[in-house]
Amino acid sequence: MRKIIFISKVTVVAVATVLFSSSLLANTELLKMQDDPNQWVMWGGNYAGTRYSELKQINAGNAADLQVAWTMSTGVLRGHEGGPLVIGDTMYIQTPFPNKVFAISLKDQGLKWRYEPKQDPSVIPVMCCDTVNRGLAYGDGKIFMLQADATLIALDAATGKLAWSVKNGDPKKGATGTSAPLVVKDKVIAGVSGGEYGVRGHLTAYDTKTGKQAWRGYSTGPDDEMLVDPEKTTHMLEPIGKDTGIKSWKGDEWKIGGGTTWGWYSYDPELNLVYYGSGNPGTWNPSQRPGDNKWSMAIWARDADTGMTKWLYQMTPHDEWDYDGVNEMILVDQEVKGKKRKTLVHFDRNGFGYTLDRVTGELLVAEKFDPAVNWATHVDMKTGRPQVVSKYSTDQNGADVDTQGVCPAALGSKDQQPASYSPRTGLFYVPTNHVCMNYEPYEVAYTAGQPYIGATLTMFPAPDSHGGLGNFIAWDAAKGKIVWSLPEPFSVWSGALATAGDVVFYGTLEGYLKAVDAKSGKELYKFKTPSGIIGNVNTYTYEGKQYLAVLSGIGGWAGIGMAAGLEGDSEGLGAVGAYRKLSDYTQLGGTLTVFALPDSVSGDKTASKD
Amino acid sequence: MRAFPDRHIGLACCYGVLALCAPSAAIANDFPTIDRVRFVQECMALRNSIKYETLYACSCTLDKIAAQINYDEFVEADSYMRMRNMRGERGGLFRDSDDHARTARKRFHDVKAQAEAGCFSLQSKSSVDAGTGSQDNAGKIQQ
Repeated sequence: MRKIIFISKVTVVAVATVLFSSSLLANTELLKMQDDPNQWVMWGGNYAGTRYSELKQINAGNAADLQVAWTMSTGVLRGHEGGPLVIGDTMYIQTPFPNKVFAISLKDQGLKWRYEPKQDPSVIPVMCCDTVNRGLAYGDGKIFMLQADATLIALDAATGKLAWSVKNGDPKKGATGTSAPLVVKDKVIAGVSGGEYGVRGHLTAYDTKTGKQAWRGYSTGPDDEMLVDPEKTTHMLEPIGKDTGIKSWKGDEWKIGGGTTWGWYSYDPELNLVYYGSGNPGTWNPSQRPGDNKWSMAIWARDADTGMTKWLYQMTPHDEWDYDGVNEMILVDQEVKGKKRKTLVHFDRNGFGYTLDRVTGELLVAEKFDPAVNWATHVDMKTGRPQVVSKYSTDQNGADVDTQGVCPAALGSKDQQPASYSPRTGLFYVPTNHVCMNYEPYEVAYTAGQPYIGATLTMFPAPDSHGGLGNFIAWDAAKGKIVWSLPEPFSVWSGALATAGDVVFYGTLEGYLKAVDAKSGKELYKFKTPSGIIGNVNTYTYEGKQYLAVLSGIGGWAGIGMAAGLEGDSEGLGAVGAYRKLSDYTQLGGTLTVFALPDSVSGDKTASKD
Repeated sequence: MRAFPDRHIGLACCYGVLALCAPSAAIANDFPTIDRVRFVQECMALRNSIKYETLYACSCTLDKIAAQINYDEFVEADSYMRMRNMRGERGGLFRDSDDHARTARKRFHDVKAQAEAGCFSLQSKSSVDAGTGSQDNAGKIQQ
């Protein structure tokens, strides 16, 4: 059995990859690196966020032969989101709070270095949705991470030494960090979490060299603080006009207006635009915040150098269900209605799959990607507004009324786990929820650093369906149609990967890593990792062999199996000592599992590439 | 490191017991080796014992469980039990709302308790106590 790596002796080895240091090179290095399928250099595999790899040594014909090549325990309980980066001969992974970072040599799977920040644990209860972290970013010879306490840090990629750190928000007021930063040219871009604490969301760019703030654009408030131009910034191709971030709110609600930015950031180098989504507006009780609550629940296109907003699209004006708009933006050039377009594809929590022209923000397609979605009949293509069904409107039904049977639930038809796109099939592969809810809003007062929620929810599987809580679907974003749909017993909260081998990979809450045929959805392979998977599947090569890597670990008693058969929280388990006993014996917590074909199948070990 | 005994003896014993209490439903007995090994490993670790009798009893427990429920049901119950402990909003889905999850967990708990009762004798089946005697807490199903 493999020893837990991090307790063995740490040898710091110089990174073999040449790490560029001049900012001129930094401007272009990631543009080149993202095209090299042997590495996995950012969360989406590339700036477009397609999570597609040209590697095809593992393909639909041989995926059934996959084996576990190596594993590593992170030793951290709680949910493991995000996925590993691979830069040259080094893999970098991160953990939930306390946000350890490991640099692993691909040569011998030994540790090159590890870093563990010192953070005030009082941040833990301020994190609404477990102490997750969605990953690292690489650029300019550094590894960037947004800590739970909203501190952005830069580590020397070769040594793990802290280069700089900067506060990106105040955890005392509920601001936390969970998202993966994105390096664009000489800047690193970071968002903020805390939508359940009335945090006013923003996207902020810092200089990769020094950590000095370059720009910050808020999601709500005055135009100059949002970095919008009333004349030039557009929504549905029209200028947005003055003070939209104030006038669409009652009183000062915009100051605690949410619109946090805890999802993923994509980038189009030709247009020089950064794309991302903003989250829910302030409290979950909609009657406390009349108005459209701009620009929560919106897709943003910002200039990477200045932060100035080119266009916006608000998916759920005046949210009544917590349908955060933060899910990933996938940038794909495709033909829509007979015309080749530079598009942005977004699977929103609200259950609609949106296709927009990413140059202008024109809305091209908005269709339900789960047939269970019932809160709106459709999206009006002239106004861009969803047509809300009164029965499911928690605002129209009012506070202290239980609005029943709303689909999707607050978790959305899809949460943050990123989808993937294969240019070979032209399809998007989307991990989804198939869950509905009852939702009862109530009056709530804002106190800094305290939850600002104001609704009670119950959730259940979508009725009159297959009884499961999820689906894994293939989606045609030009037509807005489901091509195939695999029923899953549980919600799929793992990020997908598509490859030139015409295989799509994703993880499940049971802990299965699954490989399915990209064309038909037919299951080719599944393997049960030690715990549920909410991480993203990534791929890379080392010495000509293709590998898949994924983090498992859902929190709670991740790693503790059925022999224990206990219920209760992990602290309770620790108290009875079973945790200690098990940890002497088995590897608890998050686990990195790396898959490859056995040598007898991968043959000459040449990872071929188109 | 002590060598493991000839497991056939232990298994034969278990099967003997099983035959007496075999359920009327078809026995799937479809658990992969990996899960059998893991269950027995964890079962022994939880009892802090590498003695033969613990190996026998833990193997016996898994055999009895596998005779009562099939592997997919086991995985489902396992998943529900873990997910119940997920933090935040997502865990809430499994804590508060889902009767199916509760039923699956309860059923597994019952099957396991019955299996243990039929496999452990001298050595305490309640040894998930770490010397604190809090097995009652540990084993309690919180509904």
